[in-house]
Formats: sequence, C-alpha cells, structure tokens
Amino acid sequence: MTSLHHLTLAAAARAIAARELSPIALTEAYLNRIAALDNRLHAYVLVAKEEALAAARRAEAEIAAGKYRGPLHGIPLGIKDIYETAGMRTTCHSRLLIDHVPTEDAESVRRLKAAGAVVLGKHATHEFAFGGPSHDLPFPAARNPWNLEHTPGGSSSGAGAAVAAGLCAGATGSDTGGSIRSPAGNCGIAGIKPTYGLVSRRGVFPLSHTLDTCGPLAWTSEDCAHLLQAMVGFDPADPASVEASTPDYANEIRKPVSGLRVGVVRHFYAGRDGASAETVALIEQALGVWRDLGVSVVEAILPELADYHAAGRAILLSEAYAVHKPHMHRTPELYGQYSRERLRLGAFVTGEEYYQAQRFRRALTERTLSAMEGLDLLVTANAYGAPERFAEASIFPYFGKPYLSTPFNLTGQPALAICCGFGEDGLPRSLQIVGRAFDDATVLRFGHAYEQATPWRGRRPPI
Amino acid sequence: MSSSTEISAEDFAVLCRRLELVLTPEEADRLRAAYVALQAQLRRIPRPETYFPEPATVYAHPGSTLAAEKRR
Repeated sequence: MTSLHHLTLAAAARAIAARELSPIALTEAYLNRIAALDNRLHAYVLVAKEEALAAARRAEAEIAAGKYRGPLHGIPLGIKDIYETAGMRTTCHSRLLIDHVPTEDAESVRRLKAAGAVVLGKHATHEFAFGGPSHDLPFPAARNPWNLEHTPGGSSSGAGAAVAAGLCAGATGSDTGGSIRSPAGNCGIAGIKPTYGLVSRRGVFPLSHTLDTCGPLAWTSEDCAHLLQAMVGFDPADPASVEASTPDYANEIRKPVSGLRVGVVRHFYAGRDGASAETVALIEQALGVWRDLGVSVVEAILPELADYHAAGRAILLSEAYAVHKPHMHRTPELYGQYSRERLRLGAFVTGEEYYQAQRFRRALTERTLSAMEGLDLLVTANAYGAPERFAEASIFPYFGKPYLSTPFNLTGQPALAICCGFGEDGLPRSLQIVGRAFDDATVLRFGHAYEQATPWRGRRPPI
Repeated sequence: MSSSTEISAEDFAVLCRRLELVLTPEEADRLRAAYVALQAQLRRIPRPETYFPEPATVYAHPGSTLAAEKRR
C-alpha cells in the first residue's frame, strides 16, 4: 500500500472526496515526514505546523458537513518563500526580508486557500528567485532527494525537493528563466510554467516583470492540472493578467492524444556540445511512446537557442537590477554573494540594449509561432544532462551552454517539464512540452498521457 | 568566459564608478570577466536599421485571439 506521503495529489483528493482519507491524517503524515527528513533536505524555511493542523481540521469539518470544495480541499501544499502569506513570514530566502510578515496573501495563495488547500509552510528558494544555490544565506540551500550532493535546481528549489521526497502534495513556484522547470526536471517531478498572464503574480516578489510567471509543481501532470485550476483567473491588480476563459484542466487531460502533431526541436539539444547521449536517447524513447499513442512527430526548426538566451539575459538582468538597485546600493551586505554579484551585472545593460532585446524578443516570438504552424505542441530537452553537483555551481552560469528553458519565457508560451527516465547515475532526466499561448490544457494532456504510459511515476527518491 | 571584447581594470573601474558600484578587488575581477562575456552575448542581439520594429509588450501574445478579446 502506498504511504500517505507518497499518494499523488489526485489520489489523495479522490480519497478525501470519498471520505476514505482524513485531511488531518494526511497533514500529520506530511508533518511527520518533514520532521524526519528536512534536516537533511532543507526544503522548508518555515514549517507552520499549528496553522496547517488548524486548516486541516477546518477542512475535515467542512467535508463532514457536506461542504466539499473540490480536489484541493484538505490537500497539504508548500508555498515558495517569495509568495506573500498573511501572518506567515516571507523572506525570499534573504536577510533583507528576514522579519517580513505580510498582512495579505499573494493572489494565488488566496485562491489555493479558497479551494481548501492546507499550507504546510514556506519552501526554500534561491535568494529572491535569483541568487543560488548560495551557502551564505540565512537558511541552507535545499538539496536533491535523489542525491544530496546534487542541487535540486532552482530557483523553486525547495518546491522540487519537497514534492519529490513526499514532504507535500504539491507546491507553488515561479519561472522567469526556468525556475519551475529546472527543479521539476532535477527532482524527477512535473512542473508547468503556465502561459504568461494566466496566473496572477500579485504578492509574489518580482524578479523580472515582463518574464515572471507563477505556476505549480507536483508529482504528476494531473496533479499540476488540479493546482493550476485553482491558481488561474483574471486579476485586475496584476497588469499582465489576462481575462481568459479556462477549461477544466483535469477533464481535458483525460482526452486521448492521438492525432496531435508535435514538432521536436532537436537543434536545441542534439549534436556536438548539446545534451548527453543518455538524455538524447531518453527523449527519443519518449517520442516513440507518443508515436505509439497515435501522435505525429515531425522536426521543428526554431531560431538559434543562443539568440533567445542573449535576449532573455539582457531583459532579466536589466529588470532585476532595476527592482533591486535601491536596496543593493544601501545594504549590499544583506544580500548573499550570488545575488549581489549577479544583480550588479544588470547595471551594465544599457537602455538601448534592453530596448533592442525587447524588439528581438518580439521577432523571436513571431518566428517561434511561425515554426509552430500546423503543430499543436513542441518537445525539446529541459536540461543537458544530470542535475549539477553543489561543487559545480558558479556565480555566473550564463555564459556556458544557453538555457533550454528561456525561449518560452520570452514567448510567454506554456511549458511543462516532466521526467522522461533516469540516467545510469540514478538521477532523473527531463524534457519540455511546449504549447500555444493559453493552450496549457493540451500541454498537460500530453504530459499526462506519457506518464500513464511509462513506469517513471512509480519510482521515488531513495531517501 | 572568453571574448575579444576586453576592458582594462582601470577602464572597468571608471565604468563601475559611473554606475555607483562599490566593489571589493575580488568582486571587481569577477564582475569584469562577466562583463566581457555579457558584452559578447549582447552582440547577438540585432540592431534593426529600420525604425519600425516594435518591442515585445507584456499585454498581448501575437496571434492570440484571447489577447484580441482583451483589447476589445
């Protein structure tokens, strides 16, 4: 029998709805798991035990009274520590905000709570979703449950580690250049960067306003669908928010994938200086799985990955520096080394360079959409190989291989990272599924179909 | 990090002063190397000769009917 902490979110939801599982018992199972493991994983910077148990008791009472709110009712989640939480410390993993206790919830936290979710606590992050994995911050860096010597990716590092290790049923993350998809891939779980504008960013500490996107991480694509359902919705207080009609994601993902047309973007990762042979082979195997499900797979040619990377870096560095400059100049010592030095690099991007990067971004977006004509989805690598070791982390990782995730931050398209197998080192490998703007449902459906057809969701970290 | 765009330590120090960046010598060395690599990366971004190309806006996804609906 599956342990409570290893139930998928969807399975736990079904059991709660059928009154076969108590939200209190489920919350206690996660709290016990956190108490047993988090001194090694450091996925949480704050555990809100009493608040979580109180919320679980409320959920149980409401459900017993026939007031079931839906699939997140009584489900324990972790919240990335850049999301404001009313009455609960929100530090962005930084000394700068070490005593910051917001009075209001971020809009997506409010929505998750309204759906009945139980907040277990706040997850570790790279400082301000940018400076990590750094070892001079007020809290330790989260570790990868598949191997503690490796990073869980970032910046939603605690979210990835916690979901994979069974320290919560799901989590919130944010993705400016890959910060949901990187930890999802490194930790062998699912994480979706939704379409830009679909999920409100109000109350989430900004890194780069024109790129920042909020979304969920969970064990499966189906679990992400449930979380996304609660998080989406127009918010007039977020200037980027779009009033879009959204489908029932959990229903949509059950539709068959046969007949879909997919473009594989091999030139992003295959060939010399690309992904490891192991990663390339696992992606080819995944494409074979989809072909067997009736999917048509063709080659897709997008602009060069390095072009997206260059535009993305100019925009992100420039916007992040603008956000942080006043504090950086007043109290640089309150930032960790990685944040301090990375943020300062943004000072060197001129206004003209920033503007040209935004022009280039539009051109790249138009070329990407053009390359998708006649296609429903794109598939490409999510990482070049195994998660890096902590010892390999560098202050400026931007000048090696271009980031595989950045293109879809620039274009605003939905992008889901899922596990596509394991290397000989026992560490997860991952790929990205990319859809058209606001077609997040097809992206999740495609991921769900793959997860149903493969054994990877049955393997958990050996921690 | 290597590039043909080099900058001397002295010139970089002037640049940092203009930007009001106060750095330790070690930080300055690391940032100068990163600056050179960043300049090389930024050269990939085209500078259009025509006046008209627009920058990306955050409010509309090109080709999105939903964005068009929002504008109405």
